[in-house]
Amino acid sequence: MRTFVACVLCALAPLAAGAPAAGKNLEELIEGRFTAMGTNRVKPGQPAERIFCRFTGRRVDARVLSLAGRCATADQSARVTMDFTVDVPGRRYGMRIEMDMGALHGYARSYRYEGVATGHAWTFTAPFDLDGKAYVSTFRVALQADDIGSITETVAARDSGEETILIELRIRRE
Amino acid sequence: MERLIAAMLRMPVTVIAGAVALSLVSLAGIGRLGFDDGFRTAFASETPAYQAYVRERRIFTLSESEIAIRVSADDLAEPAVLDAAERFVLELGTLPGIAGVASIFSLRHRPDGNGVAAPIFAPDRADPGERRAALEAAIVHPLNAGRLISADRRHMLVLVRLAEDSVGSVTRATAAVRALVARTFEGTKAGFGITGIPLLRGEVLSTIVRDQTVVNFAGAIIGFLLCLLMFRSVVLSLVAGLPAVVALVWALGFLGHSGIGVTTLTNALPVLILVIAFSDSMHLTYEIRRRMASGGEVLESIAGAVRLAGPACVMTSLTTALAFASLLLSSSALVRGLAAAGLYSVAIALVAVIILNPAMVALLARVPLVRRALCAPSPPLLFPARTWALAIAWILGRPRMIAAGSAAVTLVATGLYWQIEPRHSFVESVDANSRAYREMVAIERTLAPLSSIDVIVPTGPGAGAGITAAALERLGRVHSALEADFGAKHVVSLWSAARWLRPDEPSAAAGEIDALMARAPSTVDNTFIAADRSALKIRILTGEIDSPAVLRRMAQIRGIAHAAVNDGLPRPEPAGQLAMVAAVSSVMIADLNDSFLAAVVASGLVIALWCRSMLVGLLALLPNVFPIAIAGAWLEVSGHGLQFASGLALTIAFGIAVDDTIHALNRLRPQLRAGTVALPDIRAAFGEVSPVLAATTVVICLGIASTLASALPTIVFFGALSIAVFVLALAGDLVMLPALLALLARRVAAK
Repeated sequence: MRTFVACVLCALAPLAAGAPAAGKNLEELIEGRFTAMGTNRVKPGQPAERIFCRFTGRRVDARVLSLAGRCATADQSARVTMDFTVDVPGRRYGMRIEMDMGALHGYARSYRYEGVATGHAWTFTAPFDLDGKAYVSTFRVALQADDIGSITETVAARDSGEETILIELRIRRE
Repeated sequence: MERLIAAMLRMPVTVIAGAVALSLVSLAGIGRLGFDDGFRTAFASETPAYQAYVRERRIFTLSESEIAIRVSADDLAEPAVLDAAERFVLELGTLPGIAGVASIFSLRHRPDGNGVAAPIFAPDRADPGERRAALEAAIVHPLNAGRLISADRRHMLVLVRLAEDSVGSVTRATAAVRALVARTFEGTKAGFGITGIPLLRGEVLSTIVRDQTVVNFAGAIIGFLLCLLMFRSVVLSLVAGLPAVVALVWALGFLGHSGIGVTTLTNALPVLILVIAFSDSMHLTYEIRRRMASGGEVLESIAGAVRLAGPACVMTSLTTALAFASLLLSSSALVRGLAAAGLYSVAIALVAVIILNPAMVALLARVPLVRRALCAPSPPLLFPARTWALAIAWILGRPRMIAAGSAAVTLVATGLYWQIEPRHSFVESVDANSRAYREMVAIERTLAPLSSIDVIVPTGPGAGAGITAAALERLGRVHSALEADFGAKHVVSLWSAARWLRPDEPSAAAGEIDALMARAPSTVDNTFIAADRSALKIRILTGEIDSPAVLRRMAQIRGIAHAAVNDGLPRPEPAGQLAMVAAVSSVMIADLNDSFLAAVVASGLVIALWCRSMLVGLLALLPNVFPIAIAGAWLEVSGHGLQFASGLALTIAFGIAVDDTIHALNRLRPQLRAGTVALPDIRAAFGEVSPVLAATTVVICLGIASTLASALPTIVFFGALSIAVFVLALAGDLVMLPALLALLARRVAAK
């Protein structure tokens, strides 16, 4: 679930530089209300579950934009706040995700990703450890139109290179 | 008294200006009126049961902050319905103010060898056949047991835990849930309903707010119409009615300024004050008119009327105040709040009537139209004077028979009343026709009860970090023993999950349960495990039953639980809101009986002092204990038992019923004080006062009948029982009292 939120942000981050597919700048795309529906896998080896997210985007200042909202599976939900910065417009982006599941132990996490724009898709990557095992997390975001997008997160084990899709989502502006 | 009369008559404009100023201050208080549904505050007390509940609330999340949503269809397996239901559950989790959601979509298969528990509704098994199979798996899932989906696939339950329980956040969250459920299932073949304690509380609150407008307005209109009927004069109706309306405004203003506010208990107080003030004001207006119609001057007639009726009004207010004061004995802060509000309101009703009424007459009598109305002969009240005279003569002719008969009836009725059992039921406090209540009944009929009696099982040594196998095993013994009596469907605890996780050795599932709970939000986790891990909870799902039944079931549960774990560790004990309410309400309702007894003794003493005769004090009580005893006996025989509403009604109605006795005795006070009362005095006094007593009883009864417009059963019952007491009290005053006084007169004559 944590990765889902990152995906959403990734989807929007490249637009800061003026996404070719959308033809709009980031402010126009990030400000508003969004929903997303799809599947989520907590970690490699776990079964997929349906997930739904709802969040609101707003501009914080000239370089920073924010997305905040909530994602839920059938038995869990998490409050998610994200902000990202435009490092080099049209080329490099930074992204930070914080999430709080309100659980007793753990699950409050903070991640930082770096991303690049490539044509009509954008990719963010970050290394991260899960249960003591090293992975590389990759978000791929493609926008078919202004209000619809698809997001996937794939993690690859550093030792074996085995890939698992953790997130598959369709995002829609409300 | 004389100085008061002189001041009122000398400065009527000043008096009225003062009343207007106080009314303006009171109007500001009305603007600050707070409303409380009383679900929690009604039982807040120092009682051990409430204090245990407070401790429980600190470590467990209680189901009172849960909303239940029923989704129904001819077949929930129909793809459009099932998909909509799943999307609804997912979207619910993202709404603001929602802490957790439980539904069939949360159910999982038993964990495999790697500890992975796949969801029953897996996204990669999405064709209709696979979805139908998943639904069937949910139906037979051990953690469902008919609670989340019915065996016939027609009803499904979604439980939503709210994050906060303040009125504002509950209102916002429930509005969002309603909007979502309506939007999601629009165009499908599914129906839905929403209920839960937060919704019922909201509906009670709306009813209380509505009652303050509807009931008080209806009471005022009824009062004016009755004045019109009795005085046959619009002007006199206004003179008699306006002080009552002013008293109502002052009473509401006090509730606002004092912070006591309007609760399910104080809801009927304003209209009660309205009718008491109407009654007193009518007494005064009637007397003024009688004197002016006999040729008296305005000021002289007013002074004479105040001299005659004033002390009686003060005395009646005192006895009513004593009834309210007796409620200060209650262990409930809410009842004590009613007592304080009642004491103040009775006082201001007296001031409004005894000062405002004469001042208004003194001022308005300068207007020829008003003067003419005041001087017109009084029409007979209810019946011609001759009818009253005949009735009184008949009563005074056979005092021994009437006194003995009524004493016997009172004795028998008191005996029955003595056996009455305190009884409280949740349904007393809610509108049974409300959507939320009807939905709760529907869910309990088609799925499972939403309320529960809980059992707290202490975990014993080693508690703190997590659940130990020993604690789980102990829980299992209690759970299994309770299940044998109440059935698997009605007993829920972590043992249900442990048996599912490890069918062969459930107590070995402690680690897995700890891991599962670690993933859950604390609001969900703490439903069954104390936040400090000091205890585990078992919920025994229970439908709507009243407090004696809850207490009996608690005793049964306690017996079973104690027998199951007789191991020297702290024993499991029944707990939860239902258990607390049953235990505390029994104490509080029993308190009301003590209050009533205190009111009886105090009123008797006050009358005895007023008439300077203990014997008169005792005689005066009999016609007033009579209606209470009859009403109490009826409550016992009919099986109603003594509820909050009836306990309050009997105590407060007693205080008001004594008023008529005082008005009657007031006519005989000089003779009673001197010990020279004789039959002709009694005949004359009752000839004068009987029509007024009957008329004011009609006023009070019809005024209080406005409470029947309330949607809250407790207010309706309060009003209906009060009316019954007033009618019986009138019978006591018109039949028993003259008979008893006639016996006294015979005794005086014999001496």
